[in-house]
Amino acid sequence: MFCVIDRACRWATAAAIAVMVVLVVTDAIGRGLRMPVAGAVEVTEEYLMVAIVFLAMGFTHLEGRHIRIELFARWIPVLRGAFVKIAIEAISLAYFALIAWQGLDEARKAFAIDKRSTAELNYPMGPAYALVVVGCVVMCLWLVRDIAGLASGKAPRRSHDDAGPLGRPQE
Amino acid sequence: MSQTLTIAVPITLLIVFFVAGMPIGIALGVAGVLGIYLNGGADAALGLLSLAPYGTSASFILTAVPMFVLMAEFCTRGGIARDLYHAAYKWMGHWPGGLAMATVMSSAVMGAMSGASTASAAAITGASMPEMKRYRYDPAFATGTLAIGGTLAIMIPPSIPMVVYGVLTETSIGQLFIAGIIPGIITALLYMVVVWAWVRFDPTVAPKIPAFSWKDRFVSLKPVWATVALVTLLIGGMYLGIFTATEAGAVGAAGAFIIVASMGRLKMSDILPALVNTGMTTAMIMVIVIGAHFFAYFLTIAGVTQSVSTALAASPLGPMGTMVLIILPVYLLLGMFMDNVPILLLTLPVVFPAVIAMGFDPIWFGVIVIVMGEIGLVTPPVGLTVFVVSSVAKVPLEKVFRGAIPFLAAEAVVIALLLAFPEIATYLPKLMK
Repeated sequence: MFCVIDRACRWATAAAIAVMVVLVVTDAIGRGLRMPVAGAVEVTEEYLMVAIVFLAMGFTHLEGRHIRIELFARWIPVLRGAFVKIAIEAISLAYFALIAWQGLDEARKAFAIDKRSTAELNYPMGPAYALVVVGCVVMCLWLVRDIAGLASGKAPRRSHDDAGPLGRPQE
Repeated sequence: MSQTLTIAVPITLLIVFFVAGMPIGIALGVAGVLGIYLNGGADAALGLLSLAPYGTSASFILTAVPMFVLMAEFCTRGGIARDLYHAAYKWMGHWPGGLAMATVMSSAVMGAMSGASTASAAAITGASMPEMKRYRYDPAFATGTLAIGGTLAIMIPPSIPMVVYGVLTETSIGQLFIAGIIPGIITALLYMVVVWAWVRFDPTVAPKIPAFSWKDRFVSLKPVWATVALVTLLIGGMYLGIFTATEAGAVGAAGAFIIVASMGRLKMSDILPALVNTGMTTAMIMVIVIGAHFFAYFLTIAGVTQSVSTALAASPLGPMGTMVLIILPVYLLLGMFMDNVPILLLTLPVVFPAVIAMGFDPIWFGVIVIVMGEIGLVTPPVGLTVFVVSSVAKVPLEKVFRGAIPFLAAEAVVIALLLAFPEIATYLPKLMK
């Protein structure tokens, strides 16, 4: 289950980036020929960029790629202990849960009033807001798993070493 | 709770989170949300939590980040760094310290394809370290050159920190990119001067190697000309106003893909990792951007931004004295512990208004903070490019730090030149269409 979610996020992120390149290049060329792609800028920022940021957030955490200052943990042994790690993960969980909760509210409102983009294409905005919720919920899932692992004495696995681009091999 | 406590508690918590090793973006976000709650109430905090994460991410200008990262991914995976190094090595290798000069030169050109110092340093280290080892270059000298060379990536366009600076300060990213060209070239030349002086002082660090024939030299240019042409097209396109920075990033990514694929260097199995890695770098930066948005909002509603800006602008030291004796040392100190993107996100909301009030040019200040970022990348205890070079070259950290320190003399000269002659940074942007 975890593996499927992780792979889905990686594929979706990769697809969003590929579509972004094609769309922006096509629009840039089209603009030169006075035939810009309708809604290219809006789709890029309102959907694709948001998809990349929020869907990639979870597997970036799994790979240990969110920057942190590790220097003090090398100097102060207590910072390497399970208690501090659990506290950090728990506070992070609360932060992303709050964003997910408030984001859900925003997405529900957008669906309820059928909020539309101001772009020429007039597409719905609800799914775009929902991407924030999906990304944060996935992040919370990984954090809960990490906390459970730490509480039972296991360090969270980071996949620098054993993952391919699509995540860890099936466990 | 008193006004002092509502400001002190979130700032203290932020420092505690940093020390405890919490991811920087999350630490900024949690401290920021708490600060907003304490100073503006629950409604303000929840309101911003519902709007800011989406609003901050949904930015067309910030799409330049994944586009330039992807361009660098394709160039690195396609072995362009290796080609660049080999070309520079064949032209310059026989000079005193020639392999180190070739490292600086190839790092400068790689910097024009990559906006992140770590990616550039890793790519050039992989290509050049075997040659420098083969010719018995001193490990500290060799790796110091690699670490400092990697920092050129954030000055020579494209540059991810410049994109972040541009977004935060509403300064034209295209102009910032163009402003980095002359200081970037001067910095690279000064690094070569340091190499020359070091070898003159201690010739044992860089044994001489034989010269290549002219035929070999010209043949070495064959695999790199297309990429160099692409980079020239992008910078020229931005300069002439044909592309925006974001479009240049997308054209660069597509162009790099076509070039390395047509050379048979990019396998299907490389494409997905390049895209996924791009996603991770983007998410890592954007989580910090979102967290910094919360923290900056807290500083604003608590009145910290206004107070610090006013105090700096009214400093009895005068604008230049404040810049040299307060602002630059703060960036130097922060650079010793943090990467340049979080530093920009943490400081600019407070410092930038004061800098403008003191009459400094925003483009010039952008270049100055990027030079400070370069210094931070190689100064202990936390120097990101030093960590990367040490890990790729398998040389102890202490040796890499020792090798990079003499190059800080070059950075000091660049800072002095920029302070004395701001036109070094502002001349080209003024000519832009």
